[in-house]
Amino acid sequence: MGFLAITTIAWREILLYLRNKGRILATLGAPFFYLVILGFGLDAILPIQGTNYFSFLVAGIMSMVILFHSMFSSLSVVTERQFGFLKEMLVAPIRRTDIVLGKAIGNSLTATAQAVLVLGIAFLVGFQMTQSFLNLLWMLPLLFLAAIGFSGMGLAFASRIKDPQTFQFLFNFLVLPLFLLSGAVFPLESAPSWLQGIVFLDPLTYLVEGLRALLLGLSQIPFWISILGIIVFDAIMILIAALLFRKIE
Amino acid sequence: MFAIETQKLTKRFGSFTAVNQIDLKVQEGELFGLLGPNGAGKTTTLSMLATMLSVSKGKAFVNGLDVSQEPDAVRKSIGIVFQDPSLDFDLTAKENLEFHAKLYGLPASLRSKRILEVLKLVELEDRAKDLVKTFSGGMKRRLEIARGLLHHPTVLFLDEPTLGLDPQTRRRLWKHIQKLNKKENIAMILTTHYMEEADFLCDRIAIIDGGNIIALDSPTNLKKQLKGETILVQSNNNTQLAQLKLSGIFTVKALKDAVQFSVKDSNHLLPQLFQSASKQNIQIESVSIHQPSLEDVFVHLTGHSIREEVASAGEQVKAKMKYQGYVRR
Ligand SMILES: Nc1ncnc2c1ncn2[C@@H]1O[C@H](COP(=O)(O)OP(=O)(O)OP(=O)(O)O)[C@@H](O)[C@H]1O
Ligand SMILES: [Mg+2]
Repeated sequence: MGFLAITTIAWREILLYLRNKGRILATLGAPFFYLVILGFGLDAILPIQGTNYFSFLVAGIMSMVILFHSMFSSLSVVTERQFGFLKEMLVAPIRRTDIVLGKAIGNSLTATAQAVLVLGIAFLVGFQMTQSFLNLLWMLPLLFLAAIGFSGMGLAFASRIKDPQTFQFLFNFLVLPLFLLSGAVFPLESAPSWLQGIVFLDPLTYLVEGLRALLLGLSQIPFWISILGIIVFDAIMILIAALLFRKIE
Repeated sequence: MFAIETQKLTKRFGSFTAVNQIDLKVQEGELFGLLGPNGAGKTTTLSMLATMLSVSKGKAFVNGLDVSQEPDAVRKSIGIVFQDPSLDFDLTAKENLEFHAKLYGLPASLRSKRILEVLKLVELEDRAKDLVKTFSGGMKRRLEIARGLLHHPTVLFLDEPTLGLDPQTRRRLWKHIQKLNKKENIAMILTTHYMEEADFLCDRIAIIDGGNIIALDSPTNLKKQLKGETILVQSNNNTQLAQLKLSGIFTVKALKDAVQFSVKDSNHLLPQLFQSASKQNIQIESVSIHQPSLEDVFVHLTGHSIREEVASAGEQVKAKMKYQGYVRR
């Protein structure tokens, strides 16, 4: 029964995502402007070894989308609690872990779709991969796995937050630093050494680096380390979220 | 075996006792009511029975299963309609039910048939494909009841099922609840602070106030506690009024700002009452007479009215006087 519960909960997330076309478009706005304005605007003044700034930024903005989308879709648990639907899941004869897994999987699939859309936009405005297109097949599980970890993080917070106004705080003091510290928008080698230490503690770094390796063949860390880092991050986050969900009354 | 059995069931929030040593036994198939004012502990009691809240002290069994020891088995065998809405408004009625059916592990071959069946029971079959956010309050409530029944529970909890609905919709919902209770043959525990609702629907009622059960019986027997007629009198000195020596009185109770007399015959009492009152220099301000209702039983037992809106029995008398004068109900 665990399997059916997980797929049912995941499917609901996907259904709600697909049903809300307006939201899909709205959330593509920010990545689009970052790519076009930041990417082309800084292209001339920011030289990047082996590529240009616009191409460099593509992996960063895709990672941003994974981070934002996974976190905030998972935080919808807080509004589900407010509108009462959470109780329908909590009183059902299923394990709390199934709720965490179902939501994480559903949100990660939609986050992956969203990141792929951003890549599509990047191609439309002139992005060129230097690596084989076959790498795109590798990219999907990489995006998905990273999204699982951030969904877990979002769910862990959501299990404790009662008030959606806390989202603003989370955004400013967690999500934004995670994004900026990941090397999504600047090359790691140009950062001062004190910053480099922190950068490698940021799980998003491993996604950014993994994506750049696949798209441009450029990376500061080997691809397998990226994958390993993300899997460790996933395990920790899902575990914490599952433990916290068990405590919800 | 009882559908529900509790032994000194208690819930504390910090030092505050919300539910105090409740003993209940509900038969299989019974329609049982928990009647009490806001904050009485009705939702807290249901939450413990539904394994949504931990038990502080005492024991609770659902279908013979201990809610603290076997919460998973309990969850499988119960359905619950929460006090606050718990539907996904962005899904259709059918999608809400499908979600539920899968979480409760209903076999795929039975799902659509059962979904249609419960939708028909609450007369929503032609709205199955509509988003729940387009439903009226009464329709949402009916859908929640259908959902609670979907997985064939043997006990269904209904927490204030008609709260906030207009009187007409409320009556229709009563009919549905009655029909379902018979047809699906399941025990139902319903909480309410509407007297008429408990009176109309329930086989037996537990009156709960401040976390304690203060009476438990069938509506008819509860009302028998107050024989004959009930008179509420308001005066400038209620304490003294309650002490008057009058004949033909079963019980007298001084409330916060009125006195409740339970009498054999009001025609006989009233002249007497006015006479002795004026002798003692008590001024009677208002009088109302009616057949005892559950409301009177509640007032009689607790000394206060069940509804918060009506601050006191005295004000209630005033309100009644305004509209009816001395007219009997
Ligand atoms: N989580 C909680 N923490 C602290 N106190 C609580 C909690 N839940 C309920 N209470 C208190 O317990 C008492 C009983 O609450 P409960 O919700 O069971 O009342 P109720 O009979 O369902 O009332 P209503 O008719 O308003 O729904 C109230 O005084 C309430 O303030
Ligand atoms: Mg309640």
